[in-house]
Amino acid sequence: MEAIKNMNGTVWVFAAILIGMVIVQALLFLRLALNMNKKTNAVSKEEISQAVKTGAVSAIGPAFSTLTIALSLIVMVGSGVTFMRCGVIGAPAWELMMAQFSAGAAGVEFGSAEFTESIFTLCIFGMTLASAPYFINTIITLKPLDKVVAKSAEAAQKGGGRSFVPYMSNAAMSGLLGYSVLDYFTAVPSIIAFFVSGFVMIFVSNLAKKLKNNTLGSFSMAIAMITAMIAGQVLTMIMG
Amino acid sequence: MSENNVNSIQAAETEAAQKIYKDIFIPKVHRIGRLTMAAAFVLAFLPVIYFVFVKGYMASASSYMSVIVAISSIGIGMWLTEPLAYWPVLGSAGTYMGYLSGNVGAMRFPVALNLQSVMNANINTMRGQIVTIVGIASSIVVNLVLLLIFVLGGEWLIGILPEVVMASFAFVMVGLLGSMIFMRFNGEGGMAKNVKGMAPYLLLAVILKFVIGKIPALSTWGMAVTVGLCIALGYVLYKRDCKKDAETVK
Repeated sequence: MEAIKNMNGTVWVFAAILIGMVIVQALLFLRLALNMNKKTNAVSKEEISQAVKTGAVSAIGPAFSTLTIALSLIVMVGSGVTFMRCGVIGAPAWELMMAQFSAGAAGVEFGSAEFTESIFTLCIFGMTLASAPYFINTIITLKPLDKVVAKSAEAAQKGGGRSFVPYMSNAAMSGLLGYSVLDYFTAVPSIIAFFVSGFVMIFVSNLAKKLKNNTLGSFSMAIAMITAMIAGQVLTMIMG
Repeated sequence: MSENNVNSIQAAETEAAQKIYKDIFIPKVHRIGRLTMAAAFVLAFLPVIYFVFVKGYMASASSYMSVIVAISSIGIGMWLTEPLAYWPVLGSAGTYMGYLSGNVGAMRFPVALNLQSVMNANINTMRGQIVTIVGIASSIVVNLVLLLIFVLGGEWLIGILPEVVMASFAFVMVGLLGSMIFMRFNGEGGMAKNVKGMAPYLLLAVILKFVIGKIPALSTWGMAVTVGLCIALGYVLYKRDCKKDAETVK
């Protein structure tokens, strides 16, 4: 983990630049919206402040629910990368998995001595690659979409045939999960932790569905991971 | 003023507003959106470029290829379809903002949906666009402030945590993988169907992992080979299901 410590400071600089871009974009769109409102008077002052409040409140719940996973991400890849990756597009769980796949591709385990600066850079690359194509997609598709609002809706409805895309994503995702999880099936506590996490995940998300409690649902992965950590650690200590 | 006059004035106003919407607002949205997304794309890769080319932290080309193949094959379906799925609710400006700042499903989408229904504002109008942009911009700023507090606080928290808690982080990854796999088992369509849908690929991956482990030459390509063969298997199963579709039609 020396590599991450050494590079964390530099990563923070790049994180600040990238997050700055997120804020600049939000402000540019906000200015455009307020300018347009002056011209058209489409929305009242009260409604604007209601929109601000709704936006602010809705950010709080999901932010807290990802806290635990974000904490694990800090342990695994450092605070700089966590801020950079969670401040743009990524969600902590997704980023954690992408980091794992990247290190796995090089045949290196997190926390091992082989986890060098080069492998860490590869992980940052993998995490960036996992979401950057979204940017390109919006650049290419959104403008034409606005021009064919009606037509695109029709086309989406027409596409009733069987598509290969869901097969491909299921195959790739299942294959990678199977391939990655075997790395951890070397010790009994890890295997137990795997199943504990899985069963807790199902239990909590089914409970959330039954209670119609969305907050509990969004916490289900975090709860599953914490119980896996406790189970794994307790077993390690018992087995000594 | 007669009622007719009021109506015609309102009609003229909305017509003027619609003209502003179509001829000024929408082109400006795309100018801001495209420029900022292009800039962000470059900035996102900047740390990697710096570490590889300036600092010389170069992992092998084959591991980069493996990462590209593996992540592209997971991501491509989402990259292509996800923004388009949210676009009808977020609008173009909201989609640009959402796909730069992230958390679309959990944060931006609920904000947009909530505001538009409370204020009775359609996204294809000036009114709908303005409330959506304001709401999403607000959620982005609050989210970033909270994130900064969490990350800085988190680092401090990690510093004071006892050793036994730190050691338990060794089980984070296996816990994550466990919850991901079982979550997919538990998804839409029922457990039995999902397990059956994933089992062939999981099994193939496990077999390949053992086989590839025995062949040193393949070790750095293991993940790419596994994904490639799983997708090939996916194609076979897809063709089989297409055939079934055709037979049921007959």
